[in-house]
Amino acid sequence: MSPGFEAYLARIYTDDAERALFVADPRGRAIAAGLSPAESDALAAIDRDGLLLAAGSFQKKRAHAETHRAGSVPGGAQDGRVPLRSSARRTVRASVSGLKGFWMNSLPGSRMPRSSK
Amino acid sequence: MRDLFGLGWRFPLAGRILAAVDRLDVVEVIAEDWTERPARQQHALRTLSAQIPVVLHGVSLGLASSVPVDEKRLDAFARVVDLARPAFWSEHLAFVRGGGIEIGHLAAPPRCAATIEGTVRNVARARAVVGSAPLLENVATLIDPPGSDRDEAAFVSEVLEACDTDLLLDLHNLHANARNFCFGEEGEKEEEKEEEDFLRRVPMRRVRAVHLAGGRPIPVPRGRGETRLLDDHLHPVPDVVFSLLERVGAMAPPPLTVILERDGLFPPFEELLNELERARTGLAAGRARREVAA
Repeated sequence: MSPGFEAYLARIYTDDAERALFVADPRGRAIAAGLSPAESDALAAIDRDGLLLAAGSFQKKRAHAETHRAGSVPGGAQDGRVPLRSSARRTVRASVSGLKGFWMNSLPGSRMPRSSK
Repeated sequence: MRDLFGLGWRFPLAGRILAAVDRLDVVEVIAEDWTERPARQQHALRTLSAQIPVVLHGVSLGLASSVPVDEKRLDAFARVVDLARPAFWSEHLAFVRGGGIEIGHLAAPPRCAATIEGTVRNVARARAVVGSAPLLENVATLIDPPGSDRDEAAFVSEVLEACDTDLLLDLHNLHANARNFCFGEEGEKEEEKEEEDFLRRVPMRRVRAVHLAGGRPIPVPRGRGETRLLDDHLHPVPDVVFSLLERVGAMAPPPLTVILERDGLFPPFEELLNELERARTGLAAGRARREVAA
């Protein structure tokens, strides 16, 4: 499959309008996107339930990343992430004493004063 | 050489992890948490790696792609590797963008020759820039990847051999894909058969690390009660994943680095440590069987 195939997958994974058009006419939309007949046939056989589920999961991930852009933990799961700053500080404040000051000062987004050490 | 057990480093768990370093062998750090931080914050990563062995995990390179890996991202990754000095680093067998569009997460690539060729090129480039090749991780997917002409075990095996690199085997991803896509001729679920088939066909000598995680079933649209398993890292590790770990212990050579991934809905920290303890017990049971078989 070509880079164009991946690009079109990225589009139908992320663009609600294009995905709706694609679901109505998979082969026609794939051809219109410039994909080869073989690539278009592959897309015509797509797992439609999976497409909807995956697109929904990706949308949640993007929304979560946007919400928590400053201070979230990006990462490996398919869904859901934890907001960071307040909970991180609470946790770090309870950290072991020898490293407490260090982590309070080094956490991303921290406004705590730096340690004198 | 002994197997190692640890947790995924998450900032809300920072204090708890640091307080429990004597009960952990290693922590796995998400590289992208650090790539864009100013130098004074990146210093924290070096200090962490002085406290406990660190391994690095990438989520944004998109190596399993026919598109060349982004050089700026690789350079940033290499700088974090220099800071953390990890025992190894890893990335997913996934693509994450295409045609200038960021998908926002890990997408299973078409399992075909073009993806394998692209992955080989990207891993070679990563090896050159970072200084070592990544372990490659099998990914969970909610969609049977379109454009595929081979199954996941064949794809993973071919990639590992062609790239001459090792596997980070995510057992919940393996379980999720088996549960979501493997059915017999009459529609009955054949997930156990698929999991065993995968473990038998993927080169066990290349397994260096294992991920443990949990997830939840989500309804299929118009699915008459059907569900697919979402790998959300927000739930306890299910029994089946511990069983798979024991199986891996009987099949893969030591040492393995076993990482528990938990990204949110955090339980009391002791519960995470208990899950790790269960992993130690399970892997040891598998190891014992391997010794008997030998």
